[in-house]
Amino acid sequence: MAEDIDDKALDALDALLAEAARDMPTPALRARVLADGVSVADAAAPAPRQSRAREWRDLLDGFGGWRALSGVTAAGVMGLAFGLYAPGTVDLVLDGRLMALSDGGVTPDIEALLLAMEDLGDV
Amino acid sequence: MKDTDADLDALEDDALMVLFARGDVDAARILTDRLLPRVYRHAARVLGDRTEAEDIAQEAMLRLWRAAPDWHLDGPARPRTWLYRVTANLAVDRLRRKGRAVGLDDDVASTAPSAEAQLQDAGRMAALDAALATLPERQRQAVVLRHIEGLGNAEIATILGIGVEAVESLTARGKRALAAALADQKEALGYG
Repeated sequence: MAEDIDDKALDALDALLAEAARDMPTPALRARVLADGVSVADAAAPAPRQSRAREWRDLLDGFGGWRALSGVTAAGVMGLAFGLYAPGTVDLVLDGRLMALSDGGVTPDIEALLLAMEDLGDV
Repeated sequence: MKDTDADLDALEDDALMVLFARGDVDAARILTDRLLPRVYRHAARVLGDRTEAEDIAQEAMLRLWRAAPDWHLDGPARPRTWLYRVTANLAVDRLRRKGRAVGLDDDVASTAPSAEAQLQDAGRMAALDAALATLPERQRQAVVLRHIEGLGNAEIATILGIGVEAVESLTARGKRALAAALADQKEALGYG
């Protein structure tokens, strides 16, 4: 039977295989797979860091964000952070970005924050 | 600062896996768009059933997400190859549980509905699925990976756990067998 297969049959098969190569999953399947990914990512995320980040975000929002703080107030808030938490575990939120204080000292992002505080004046 | 989509799009799958393991869900989105179609098509053509293929595809991707924390950039397998292998194994398990596996290489063809019967119902993809179902399971996998997914023989060999020469033999014989299984459908398939 295989010997009877002619070029037309093989061409038609190639066209059918090419059509199969364009078969795509449904949007619903894609959504389920993405939801699984988010679930796995959420389950793996360290909870205390996230909750502290949210606490800081809420605190800063209460002040009207970093830019609303005077230099003295900003320094006070930073001092509160260092006093309440060990530097190795604090997460801060600045302009919506999560930054970590490493055990060895501040990150470059925190140094940028300190410079920004000087720009606020009123120190 | 968060990477832009363009930045992430430029990354290889391995790097995206590492980012996802750090909680980057945009990396998960790009991996999904790259890899899910491949997994789904592989499962759909091997199983010949879209619903089961969706189950297999979702399970395979879930295993990929769970494997991310242990993924290494210099590891032995690419995410794509690893995922195809998981899909192949899940598909074989499903076929065997349903009693539809046809043996590894040259055993007797399955008792699935004929290509002609499928064509009366659903059209070209159904006819292809029915024709694929007449192939032994490993030959079917090799044909799907080579002639639909466009993978090279070396990668297929890794996925199926066989030698490259075995892949060449399986794909060549499998394609001829497919063409023979569809030989009666010339008019319906648009030639002859």
